[in-house]
Amino acid sequence: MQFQFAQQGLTWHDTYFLAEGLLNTLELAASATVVGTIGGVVLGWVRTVSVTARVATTPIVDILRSVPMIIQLILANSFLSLAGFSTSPFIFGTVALGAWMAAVTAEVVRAGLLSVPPQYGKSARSLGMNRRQELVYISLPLAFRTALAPWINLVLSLIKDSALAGVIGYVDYMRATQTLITRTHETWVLLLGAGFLYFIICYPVSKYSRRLERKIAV
Amino acid sequence: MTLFGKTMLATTVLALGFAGHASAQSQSALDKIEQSKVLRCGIMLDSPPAGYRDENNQPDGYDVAYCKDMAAALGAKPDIVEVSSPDRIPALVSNRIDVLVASTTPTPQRELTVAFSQPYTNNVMVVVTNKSTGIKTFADLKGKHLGGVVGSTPEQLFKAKMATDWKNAGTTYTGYASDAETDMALEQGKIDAILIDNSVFRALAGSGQFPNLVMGGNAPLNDWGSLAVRRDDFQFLNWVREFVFQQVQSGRFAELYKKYYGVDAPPLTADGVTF
Amino acid sequence: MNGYHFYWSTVWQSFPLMLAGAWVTIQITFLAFIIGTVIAMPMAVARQKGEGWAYRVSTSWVELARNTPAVFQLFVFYFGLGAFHINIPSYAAVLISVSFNNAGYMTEIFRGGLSAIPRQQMSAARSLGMTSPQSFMHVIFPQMFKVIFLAYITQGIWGMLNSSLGMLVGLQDLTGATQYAQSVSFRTFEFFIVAAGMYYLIAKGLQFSALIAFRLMYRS
Repeated sequence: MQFQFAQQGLTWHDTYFLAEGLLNTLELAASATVVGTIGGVVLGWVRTVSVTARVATTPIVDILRSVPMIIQLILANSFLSLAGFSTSPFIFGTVALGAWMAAVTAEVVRAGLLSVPPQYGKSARSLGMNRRQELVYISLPLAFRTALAPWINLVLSLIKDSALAGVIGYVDYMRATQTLITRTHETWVLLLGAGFLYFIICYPVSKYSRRLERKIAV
Repeated sequence: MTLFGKTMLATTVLALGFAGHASAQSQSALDKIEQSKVLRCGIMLDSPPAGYRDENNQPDGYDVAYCKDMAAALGAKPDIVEVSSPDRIPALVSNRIDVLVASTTPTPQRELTVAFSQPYTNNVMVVVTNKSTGIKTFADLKGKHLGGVVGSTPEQLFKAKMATDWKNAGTTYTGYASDAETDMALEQGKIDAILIDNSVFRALAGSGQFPNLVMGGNAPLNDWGSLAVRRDDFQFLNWVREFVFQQVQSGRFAELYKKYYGVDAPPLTADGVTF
Repeated sequence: MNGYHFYWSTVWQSFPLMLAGAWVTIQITFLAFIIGTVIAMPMAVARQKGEGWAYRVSTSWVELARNTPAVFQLFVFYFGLGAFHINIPSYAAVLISVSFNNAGYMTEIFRGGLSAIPRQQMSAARSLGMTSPQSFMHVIFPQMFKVIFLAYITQGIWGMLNSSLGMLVGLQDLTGATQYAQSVSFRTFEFFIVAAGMYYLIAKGLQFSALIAFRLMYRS
């Protein structure tokens, strides 16, 4: 019999493959969110307290915000590789997406902290709180209120941007979809499936963030 | 210096330290494979039949089979690492893979970056076109809308033709990211013709998703593919070259080629010259 | 590092190609910014109303633009239209998909800005004898742009970032030109560093010119 390599249609086994891709997407988005948020809170706080720090970190924040994610992924991959870190695409993806997340979160955190009236901090200090207590019990909770909704929007962007991690060999949902398209040529079913899937992940989250925005605005 | 400044300095020093540490290792891949008993091959799994995923979504294809043979000859286990087009070189340079098995066309310019073996595969290309265009031979492509995958050999041929014979004839070229996009663009009539391997065309036609595609004659093109290793690793390059020779003379090359490409293997030599 | 030697001269040889790509990126960013704005203004007003067919259309638009990946949107416009035998060039497809995305995000930005403007402003304009569109153009929107200026410009830059996906469907924008150049020479690192630098300069340039335009408009 003539060997035929690419004539199989979609099978049930492929749902398993796509599910793995989905899991990979969620894992990458989750780890980049954690890394980026912690980094962003620290960076955002540093940028409000020290002018030197703000000037020193501005180029990094600016560059991360104005270079396409596809290029950031390729560069993170290339440079970490050159520097001798030969680990998995998961780590490279986390670094690239996490760095972007940190840069944009920093701005949201900074805006949040600046929205706290300075009198609040002074009052807290006059009540005998030290700098750290004031930050932890007064400023951060108040900033959190303002920053939460914009931060959720950033997480949404992150989930959608993680669809590009395929360029560095990470098999996320989008990459799994492309692999199946190459094999089965069932382009439309798979592509619409991917759009629908991202939509059902993102839609409830964005709905929630909008409700939050309204609640805070009132 | 502020605390912040000190932290930044410390981070920089640390980072440079890591980099320095990494540059100290310049062992041949051959020794490493011998110690670890694992051969890591970088393979592109989005270009059937050289590399693709089978119905169980496991890596398969000519390149995958070639890698397994190579690992067997080294007494090692094959480790298939999927690489994408912009990831091929970083993966190789950074030691994430030992050898690139991706039907990569050797060119003098690319050889400034990596070291190539002599060709281990040769794809004979055909013109594939949409029924409505009436294209019958390669010469008919003059003045048409052509397409291909960025960085592929057909792309080089089209660009060269457009700069000479087909100049001012209204010929256009669009380069897509991978085979999947190119095939769809052709089916939809966004482009008039592409050059692909004969067996790929048969698979496309057999899938039933591309009812409008027909073959339009042979293309005057040998698409040589070479194995690539790190530029300074002469020891491993020597081994790889010898392996390519053995694959051909043992008949394994012809066997694999027949299996995956469905036709008799073309010669791996150009007339009148050795590689 | 790791026995890798940087060859920058290769990049300079392909530099004209990358500049041409950068020009395409600038064009698409600018045009999609304008188109997005023009579409988003009536959509924001419709969203404010909270009912009617215009509200439903603009709400669906906003949700689709914001909750699906940009890659998906591009494929729908390039190959999706192709399935109905409407074949548009990759340039047009990228321009449409980035404009679509911009319009969706800008609608929400504008809506936020509109809600910050006191309702009395509208009544005042109407009582001066202006029609509803006139009131929006001369009274409401000028104030709104002042409020949302930063978020608005940021969205313009995001439009630029999204245009980089044009590479997938054969657009010779900055990313497409870079990808081509690196595939010829395999100088992945060098080419993408230069591309990143160029994107940074374009973004800065756009931000700066937007700032100047803004100053000129609101000087009086």
